[in-house]
Amino acid sequence: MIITVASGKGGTGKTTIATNLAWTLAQKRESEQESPIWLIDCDVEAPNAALFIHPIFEIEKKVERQLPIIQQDLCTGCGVCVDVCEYNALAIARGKTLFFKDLCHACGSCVLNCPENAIQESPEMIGLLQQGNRGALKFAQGILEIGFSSPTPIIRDLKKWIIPDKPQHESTYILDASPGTACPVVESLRDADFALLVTEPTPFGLHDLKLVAELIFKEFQIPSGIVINKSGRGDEIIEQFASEMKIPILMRVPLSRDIAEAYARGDLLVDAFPQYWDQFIDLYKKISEITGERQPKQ
Amino acid sequence: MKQILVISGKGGTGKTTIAGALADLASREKRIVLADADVDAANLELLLEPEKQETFSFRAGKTAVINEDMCIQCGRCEEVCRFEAVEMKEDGTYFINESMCEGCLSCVHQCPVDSIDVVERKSGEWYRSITPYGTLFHALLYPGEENSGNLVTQIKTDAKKFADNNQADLLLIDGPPGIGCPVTAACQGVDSVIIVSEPTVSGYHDMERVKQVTDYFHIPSFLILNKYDLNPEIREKIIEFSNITDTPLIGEIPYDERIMHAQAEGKPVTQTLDGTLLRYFYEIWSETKKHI
Repeated sequence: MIITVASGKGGTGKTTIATNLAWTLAQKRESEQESPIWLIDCDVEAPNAALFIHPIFEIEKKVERQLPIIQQDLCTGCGVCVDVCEYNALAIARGKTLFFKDLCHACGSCVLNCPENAIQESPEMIGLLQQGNRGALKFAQGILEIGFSSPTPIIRDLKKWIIPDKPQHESTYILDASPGTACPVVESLRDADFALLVTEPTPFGLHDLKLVAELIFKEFQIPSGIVINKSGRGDEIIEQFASEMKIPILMRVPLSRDIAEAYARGDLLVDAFPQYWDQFIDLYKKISEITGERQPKQ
Repeated sequence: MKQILVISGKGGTGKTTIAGALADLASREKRIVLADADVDAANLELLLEPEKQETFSFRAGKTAVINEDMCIQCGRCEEVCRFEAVEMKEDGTYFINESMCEGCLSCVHQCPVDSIDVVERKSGEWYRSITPYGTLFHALLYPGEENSGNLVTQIKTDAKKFADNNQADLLLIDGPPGIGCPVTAACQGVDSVIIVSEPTVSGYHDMERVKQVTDYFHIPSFLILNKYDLNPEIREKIIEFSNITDTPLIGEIPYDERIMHAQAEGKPVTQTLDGTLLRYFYEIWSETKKHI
C-alpha cells in the first residue's frame, strides 16, 4: 500500500505525521516479523524527514538530465532550436546561440531538430537520491541541487528506485509530499492508494486543504482522510468541510507549546509523548479499513 | 521603487503572516503594491479583503494530442518523449497521457505524418484586485497544473509595471515555499529577500538551502526569526549563521498562540493583536524600511 501525506499549505505537520506513522509501524512490524515499512521523503526542495529519523544511508544515486551543448563552430545561427524550444531556454544573439540552463526541461527537441547537428548533449546532475534505514524502518529521500528548478523528475526517479512496478501486497510505503498542489505534489500522489491530508484549523489551512482535496478528486479518485494538527480553537471550520466532502477526520494533534518544542529539537512525537504511540497505530488501522487492505494484527 | 520578496524554504514559518503585517504597516506611510507569488496555495488574499478588478486567463500549458485517424503507429513519438507521456492502448494504438505531458512538443516536430496536434490549456487565472492596503496581484493555479514559475513571472511582471506606472515606493511579494521553479521565478529582479525562519531543526535546514538560492542569484537577504523562543540553542545557531553569512537578523517574533488565532479574523495580524505583540511587527517594519 502507498500512503501519500499531503497538505496544500506548508508547515501544517506533514513531516511530523509521516515520520511518526512510519516509525511506529516499523517498530510494531519488526516485533511481529512482518514486511518492512518504507518512508520516502518526496519533498526534494526542502527534505526534512531525515532530521527526525536520523537514518544511516547506504546507497546513493545521482539524478542526471541530458542538457544541450551547442557547438558554436558548427552553429549557423539559423534559430530552429529557438523556435522548437517551448521553454525559452535558447536564444540567438549576434549570430550565436545562447543556452539558459535554468529554463531547460531536457526534452531533447533542440538536438533532434538542429539541421546542422550542432547540438550535443551531456549529463548534468540535478539531484541526488539516498536510501538507508534506521533499525526496522527503511528510508529514502531525494535532494534537488541548488540552482535547478525542476523537482518533479527527481521525485519520479526516487519513486522508481524504491517502489517496484507491482508493489507487493504487504509492503507499505509512506510518502511525505511537498506543500502546494502543483506538479511535484501530483507526482507524489501518482499510484498512491490513500491520501492523508494534514491540515491546521486556520483559514489558510482550510483554503489549501480544499485545493488539495479538489486535486485528489479531479485527478486520482483515491480515498483520503484528514489529520487536524494544532487542533483546538477553529476545528469546526475543518469539521464542516470534512463533513460536506465526506472525508473522515482520522486523528487530531492539539496545538501545544510542548509539542512545538519537541518538534523544534527534532524529537519524534511518539518518543517525546509515548501516549501518541497507540494513536498512530490506530491511524494506520483506520487507513487500512478504508482501503480495504489486511488489517494489522492486534 | 524597491521590490522585496518574502520566502522561507520550509512552509508554514509565517511568510504570509509577516507579509500581511508588512503590507498593513507599510501602506500607512508608503505607496505600495502587493503580489502573492505562492500561486498554488495563495493565502495572502485571505488577509487583505481583495476586490477583484480584472481577471486574466493563464494559458501557458500545452499538451500534445494524437489524432488517431492519421497515426500510423510508427512509435516515433514514444521514442523521443523523455517524460514517458506516450502510452500504448491495448489495441496497439498510441495516446498521450495528459498528466505526464510537459508540452515540449518534441513528438509534434518528429511525427512523420503530422498526426499530433497541440492543445493549449487554461491552467489558471490571475487577478488585479484593490485592497485597503494597495493593489494586489494574485493568482490561482488550478490544482495539479504545471508552469507555476511562468504564472509567478506573469503576475510579477504585471505588478512591477503597475507599481512603476503608479510611482509606488515598494512592491512587496509573498513568496512560495521550497526552492524550485516558482521560487526561482519569484527571485528574478528583486532588490532584497526576507527569509522567514524558525528555531527548529527543519527551519534551520531549509533556511540554509534557501540562502544558497539567494546567493546563487546574488540577491541581498535578511532574516526574520519567528517563534524565536521555541529553542534557545537553535536560535543561537541561527544568529551565528546570520553573522557568518552576512544575512542581518531584522526581527524576531515569539511563539504565541494569540498570533495563530488572530489569523482567523481574516485581517493582517497588526489590525487585531494587542500592543505587547504588536511591537515585534513594528520593529520589523522599521528595520525593513531602512532598506527601501
